[in-house]
Amino acid sequence: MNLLLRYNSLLVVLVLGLAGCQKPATPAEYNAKAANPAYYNAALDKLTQVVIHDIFSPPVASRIYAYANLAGYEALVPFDPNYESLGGQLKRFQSGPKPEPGKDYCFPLASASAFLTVARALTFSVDFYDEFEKPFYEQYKKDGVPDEVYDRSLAYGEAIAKHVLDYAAKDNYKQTRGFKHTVTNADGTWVPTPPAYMDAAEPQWNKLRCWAMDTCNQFMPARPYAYNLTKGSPYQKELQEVYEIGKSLSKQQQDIAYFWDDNAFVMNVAGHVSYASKKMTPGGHWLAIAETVARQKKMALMPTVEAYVLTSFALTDGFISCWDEKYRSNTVRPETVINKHVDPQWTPFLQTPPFPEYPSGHSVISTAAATVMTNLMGDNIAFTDSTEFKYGHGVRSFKSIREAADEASISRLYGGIHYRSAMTNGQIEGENVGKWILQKIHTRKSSVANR
Amino acid sequence: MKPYLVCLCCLLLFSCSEKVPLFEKTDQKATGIAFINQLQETEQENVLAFEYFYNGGGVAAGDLNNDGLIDLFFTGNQVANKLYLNKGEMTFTDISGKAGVGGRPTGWKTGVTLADVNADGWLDIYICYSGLRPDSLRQNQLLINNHNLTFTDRAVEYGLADRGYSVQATFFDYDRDGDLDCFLINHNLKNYQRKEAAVMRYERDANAGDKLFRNENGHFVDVSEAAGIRGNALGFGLSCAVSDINGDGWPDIYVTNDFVEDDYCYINQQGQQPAGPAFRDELRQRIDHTSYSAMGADVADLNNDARPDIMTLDMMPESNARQKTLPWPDNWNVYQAQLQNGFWHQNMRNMLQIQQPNGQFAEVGQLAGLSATDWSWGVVLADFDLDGFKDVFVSNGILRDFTNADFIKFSDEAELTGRPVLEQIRQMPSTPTNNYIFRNNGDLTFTNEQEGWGFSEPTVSNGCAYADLDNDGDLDIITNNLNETARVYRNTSRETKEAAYLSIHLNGSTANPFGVGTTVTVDANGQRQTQEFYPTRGFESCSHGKLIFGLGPDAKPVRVRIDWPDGRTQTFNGVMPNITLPVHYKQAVPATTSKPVLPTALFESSAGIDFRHQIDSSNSFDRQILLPMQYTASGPRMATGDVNNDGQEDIFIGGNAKQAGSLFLQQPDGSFSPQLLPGLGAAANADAVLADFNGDKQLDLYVVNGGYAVNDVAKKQDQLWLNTKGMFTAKPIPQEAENGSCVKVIDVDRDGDLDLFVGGFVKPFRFPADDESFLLINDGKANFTKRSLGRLGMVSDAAVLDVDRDGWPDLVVVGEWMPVTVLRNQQGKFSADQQTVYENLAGWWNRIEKADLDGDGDDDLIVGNMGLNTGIKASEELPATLTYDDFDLNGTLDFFMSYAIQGKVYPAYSRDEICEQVPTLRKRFTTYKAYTDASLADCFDEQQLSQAKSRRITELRSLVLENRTGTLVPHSLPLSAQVAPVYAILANDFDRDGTADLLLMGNNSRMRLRIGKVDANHGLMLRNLGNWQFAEVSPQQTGLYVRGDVRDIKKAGNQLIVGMSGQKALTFSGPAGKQSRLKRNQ
Repeated sequence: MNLLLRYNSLLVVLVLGLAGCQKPATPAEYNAKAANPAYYNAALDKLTQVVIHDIFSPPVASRIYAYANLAGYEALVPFDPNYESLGGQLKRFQSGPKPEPGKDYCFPLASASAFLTVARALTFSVDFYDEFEKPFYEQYKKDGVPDEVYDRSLAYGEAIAKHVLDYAAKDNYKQTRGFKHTVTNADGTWVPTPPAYMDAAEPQWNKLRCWAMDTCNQFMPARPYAYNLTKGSPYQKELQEVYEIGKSLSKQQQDIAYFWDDNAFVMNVAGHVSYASKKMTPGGHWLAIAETVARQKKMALMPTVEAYVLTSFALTDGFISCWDEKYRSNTVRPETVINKHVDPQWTPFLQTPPFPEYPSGHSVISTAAATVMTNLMGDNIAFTDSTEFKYGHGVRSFKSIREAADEASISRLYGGIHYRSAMTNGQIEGENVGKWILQKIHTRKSSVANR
Repeated sequence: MKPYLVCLCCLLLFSCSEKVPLFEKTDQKATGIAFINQLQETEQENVLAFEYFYNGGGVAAGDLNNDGLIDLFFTGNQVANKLYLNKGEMTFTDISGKAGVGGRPTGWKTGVTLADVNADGWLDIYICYSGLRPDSLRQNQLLINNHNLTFTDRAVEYGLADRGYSVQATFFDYDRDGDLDCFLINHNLKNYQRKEAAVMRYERDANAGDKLFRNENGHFVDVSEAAGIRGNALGFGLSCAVSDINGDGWPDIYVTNDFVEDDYCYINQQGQQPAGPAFRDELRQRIDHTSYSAMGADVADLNNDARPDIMTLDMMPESNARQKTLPWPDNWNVYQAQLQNGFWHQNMRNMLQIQQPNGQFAEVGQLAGLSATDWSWGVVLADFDLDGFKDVFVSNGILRDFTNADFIKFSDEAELTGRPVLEQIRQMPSTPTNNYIFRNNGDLTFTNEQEGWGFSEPTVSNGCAYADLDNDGDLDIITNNLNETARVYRNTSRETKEAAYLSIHLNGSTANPFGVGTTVTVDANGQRQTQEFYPTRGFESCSHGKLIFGLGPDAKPVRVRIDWPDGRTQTFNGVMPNITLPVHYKQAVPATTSKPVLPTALFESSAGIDFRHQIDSSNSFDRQILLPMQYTASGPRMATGDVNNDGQEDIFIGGNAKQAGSLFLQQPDGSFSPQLLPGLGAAANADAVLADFNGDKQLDLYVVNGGYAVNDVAKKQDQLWLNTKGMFTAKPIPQEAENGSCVKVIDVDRDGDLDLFVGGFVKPFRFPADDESFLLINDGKANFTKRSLGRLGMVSDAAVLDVDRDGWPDLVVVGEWMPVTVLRNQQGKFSADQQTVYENLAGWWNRIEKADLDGDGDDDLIVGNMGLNTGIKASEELPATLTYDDFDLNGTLDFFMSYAIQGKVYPAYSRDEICEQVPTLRKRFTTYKAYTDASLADCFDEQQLSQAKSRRITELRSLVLENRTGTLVPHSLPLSAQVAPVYAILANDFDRDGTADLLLMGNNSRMRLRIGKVDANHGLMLRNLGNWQFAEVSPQQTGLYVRGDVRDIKKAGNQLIVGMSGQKALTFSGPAGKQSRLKRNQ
């Protein structure tokens, strides 16, 4: 026992001695190592895992990603003279605390710390982070960040996180909890759908503070076709199309639909046995695509985080814009109408998600995200998306980011959960949101010139 | 032995026997019953592939060799069936092999029943088949008895080789042609769970639909469609019970259906319309709501009124922990969608339906204490302790808790790490549960005797049956268990209690030798017990023994009446206890048809008033998700008075956002015609009063406006109309913006004019915050001055009476989650320090009425409460609480109702619900398991809770309060007053004996789903017997049958007017000026 203790102390002394003997890394050296985007990506992936575990609905998930990435970006931006803070650009957002002048920082660590602190605060199952963070932060020490710099950077990240969380606290999220959408059962209006008949998600999402948009209805899409079952009416034609496509789905269409399902919570029901299949939200999926493309293009940390944060805003504003319309038009899902009036046994290929139909959320937010990403990362970038492979949804390759968004959009028709005009009009809405983000939010000091 | 030693021994024996439970679990080595329904879960066969994989097997008890001993038959799902021959003294021999009853080895056996199908005097065995099997393996078997303990399957020959997914068959004579017909329940293989699938209800599915087979000279013919039997793909029949429910001599059928499809209550029409379909499903006409996942059922008379009652089982667990880990959704929108799509009211708990004299049923399972017995399969109603009242046995248990919410939400993550869901299910621990047994207390309440009667062993039991296996006169219990030995519990009543029995041995007609369908009535100890001999009961099982009646201690000779299925009858007087009485059909005589003499009723239904209350369907739960009930569906309350001085009382009925209130003038013929009231829009009129405010001897009208969903100040403004010769003119009154609930006339200052009290109810969208109550002081000319009384609680009603007899009228105020509060009038003034608050009478009060109930010259009170027929429990020791504050500081009020479950107070909400209200709680309760035992103290810290406000309830019963020299002394009312919330009270001397009797009505169909639809009050009259005793007057005598939510009763002349929520206002006319027909001795 005694011997063991002594042996252990000896070991500690030895290790300390070794560390002491090592030549300390310079800030330039450790920052270069720590600026490996893989670190930040690991944190992002961890957040996605928690978002899936905790079952956040797509709009709520987009909000979490946006604040986490905002914190990650704001903690990074003071250290890069080419980039500027989003203070004064995002609605009611002011720049946060500045780093102490003359002191050394490991800015990638500050950024990761800011990101993870926000992620931890806005999600629930924090034990996931507890497990993750210890080895994660250890990496920075291995990269040679001195203890003092390590502590200071971590603290700076936390200060930025606190600043962002204070900002988040005033976005009306809290005020919109504890309400449900009122189902009126009027013809053509949304009612809960099989098999779980869940309540409509986030009926008050349009009350959330917009990010770059002026108002939630700034990009209101064209009016949906009026509910009318008369044969030959525009609505009836679109309904019939959903029904027909659903009955004769090709293997390829099935693959496309399933690949883009992105339903955070699919309920499998077999009698009294039921269990959920959970996966990425559409927002999580698009950030994962951004990650894939950034990695492929070997983008540095700063432009990578820039891409994440702007894509996040495209997603959040996209969701606010889309949800505003969803509860304005309150359109019934095709499954409900087909079962009632056409074929009681018909089931869509994908499970109908629990909110009104118009417009298609995936069409709005995918197109918004793709518009921003194309601008930042380039057009005609071929890439292979395997992010949902582990959820059993396959691997698909695309010629461009926009092509992926177009496919995400049409996948909803194949899935049997949207009418065609929810896709076409949703894409227009999404493109408008994306363009607005680019026009309104300036990340680079000379960004106007760059674009 | 010396005498004192004998005494000592007796004492010892006695004290020992006290501890012996009523039932003794027998040892398989002693009995020889070693059957195990063993399941093998495989990749092909499991609960994901076949959802009824854990439904288990049945047990049949009957004498197969006519040796006077009851033999036992068990079905095995995958294993062979077993037949055990009773050798006497509780020993059995397995004769399955020789008997040829093992069943098709590759088939999936389910229910079993015994019947003498070929009428040769020997019981045959009918076995149902289901499972993931080809048609040929699903053919049901009819094992005909070869009279030598061997059996031959002759199902095809008899026409009974059905290939549906069968659960149970029952044999009885539906067409009363003498022979036994067959009713068979089937289920679908796949559950649609599509609540919009009502269209499918009219389709027929050969494998899933239930079937009726008519016995035509020994061959069974499927007559289902013509007979009106539903046969759709939504049917998941899990049990069927036959009984002459409506007492017309023709057997009826109750079928339980799992999932969304309604249960069926098939009433036999042959007596009335011989030409039409034999059966008509009258579920909706007779039953207010049913179990959702209805499983086993039994039909028998539980309250000795000779009318069969119905009990159905569901899956609701009793303990808080299991309620929280196996939660079921409380989703109002889904429930509404289900109703919209044509399905009936269903809720996840056991239901006890007590038949009323008019053939309708009142559901009182929660009051009875029978509503939560976990995942329950079979129920049998029989008198186990021989005290003359049938008790309740429930077999339960599910092999795996796959409705565990953590599994539902988090199992797929394990799948990512390589464990398929099926593998997880297989590894999911099973939570065996104790079977339940309840002693019937004789007053519609039941005592859980799991411990006392020897059922403290956790098991997984499916089918269950009872029979007197040792011929000692009491009923033993047999269960078929999953993956463990079948159980035989020996009843020791005869040994340990000196209870007498009477056993009836039926010898029936040639075509029906066992007398299936015979009703036996035993009159003993002032009680009338009835049993119908329909042996197929419980779940997948059959109890084909003698009928046993308990005669209690000190039994005297009794009277026995036998009613054979064809109507022939015989009566035995002076039958000695403790014997088996053989009765023979041959000796019976045709019944003399005597029409029962119905008493002339006090009231008869009349034309009604042309006012159909429309429910404001805006959903309060969308605004405050944890509300205990819908607050938008209020009213109507009413006000009566003779507004045109024609000697006839007129009535004002309050309106709501959907329709304006209306004044109706009573015409000389007693009908009511509406009169327009200028300026009365479609506002929520919470209450109204007709009184003369300006001293012109004409009744003016004051209307209280408000409502839970009314935020618009103008719409909350009360209104006054002055009456001049029947013409009403609006008159301004002081501004107010309170959500009032009630108005009472009171001369506060004794200046001779009428002042007003207006009670403040829930703040709109801010439950449980309360609005102010106030007085309006009259200057004699109907000019009012407002005087606030502050916030008194969520006031629902008030009574004006001089409680302390000081000559100044006081106010007694009641409300939801508040104590009965007396505001003492101090010479024209009310002040906060002059209130008497009865903390022991903190209730969910809906109504108060005054009347002199003890004839002492002062007014006493009747207070209408929530009643006892909900899961909510409250007492002074363990009050129900409502804790509220804006815990998460988001501008909305967070409130949490908590009440005791098994002696500890827990929040009344699932993890998802509280987390939706206060999202930060998700961090505390990341799993359902973490929330299992949480009380409110685990949700919030001490400081938060100490800053929070709270309300409480200590009393849930409706009561009468005696005014004893200024103090209110509570007296209880009969249990029948506690079957539903009381929202309407009328005190009137109905029997004209000089003291006020009571009429209590109410119900609430729009409670939170977990509380459920509470609707068992069908119009209750209580006769005042004096000395604070009240007795229920039978509805046959009152003539009052009121189904639905009542919000007010008023008397106008000799008419009763009943204000119904969501229905037309009802009227009943009484005995104008005639002598009372309600006699004391009836």
